[in-house]
Amino acid sequence: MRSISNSSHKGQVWTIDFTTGLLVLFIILIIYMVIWNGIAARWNSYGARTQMESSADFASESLLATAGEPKSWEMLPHIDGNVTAIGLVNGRNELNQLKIEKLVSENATAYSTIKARLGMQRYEFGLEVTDLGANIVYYRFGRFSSGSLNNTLEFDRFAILNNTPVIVHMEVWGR
Amino acid sequence: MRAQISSEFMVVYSALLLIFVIVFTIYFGGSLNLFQGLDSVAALRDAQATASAINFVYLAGDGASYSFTPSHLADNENITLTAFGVTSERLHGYASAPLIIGKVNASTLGRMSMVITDNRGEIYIQ
Repeated sequence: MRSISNSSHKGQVWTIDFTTGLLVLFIILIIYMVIWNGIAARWNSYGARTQMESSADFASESLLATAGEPKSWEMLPHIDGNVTAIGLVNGRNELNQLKIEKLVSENATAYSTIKARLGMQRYEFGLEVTDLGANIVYYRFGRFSSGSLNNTLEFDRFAILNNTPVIVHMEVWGR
Repeated sequence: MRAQISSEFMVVYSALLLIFVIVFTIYFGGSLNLFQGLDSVAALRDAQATASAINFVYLAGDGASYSFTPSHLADNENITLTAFGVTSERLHGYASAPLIIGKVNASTLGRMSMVITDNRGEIYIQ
């Protein structure tokens, strides 16, 4: 009887050692996985932000540095596949009122086409033309996040509209 | 007593096997994620380099020209162009970058140096 009791006790010690080792190993594995996932998530976040900035930069350049393609796309009945590039200016930063009005009028029907043509299929896009104090909104196109998201990119550029300096406010945001 | 030792051994042996399975699963899963991540980043780099070259030529205006050499392309990497973007596909990942001009006269990209030209709002790659 004593012999059986000793044997059982010895086996138990072995199991406690083993269980402790196992527990430590699992803790290390969990820490490893948490750290790895954190690094991957941060990496993805930086990459997504860089991509958004790059797309927004090219879109703003397209709008304020080119006339679009064809040059008189605002004369077409609709913005569709025939418009291969969208620009809002006659010369660099000189806004063409007809182009802006056409863009705004197509907001309800061609928002996705315009967004894609500007290279922003993955994002939402809003544009406002205001006076220098940002008090009067002359034109408004697209969708705005209303400051509710933290992955929003906002930037202002100066332009000329009918010989008056204005601010072109752009907002690019992801879902 | 012998039977008791044997069952203890079986429990420990099973636990060891379980540990190996978990560790190797995590290791191979991590390796695959790493390869996918590396290939995705490399694909994004190549797609963005190509898209940027085309976009800059368009933004420079009619008559602009740029000699572009795709660098770092992998042997099995394919670069395709559509009206809306450049897509780079690698073995473990792919990525795309947007174009702001829809008229490009090529649908795939070679590995050699090429000249990108803006001819009246249409991009030629030769």
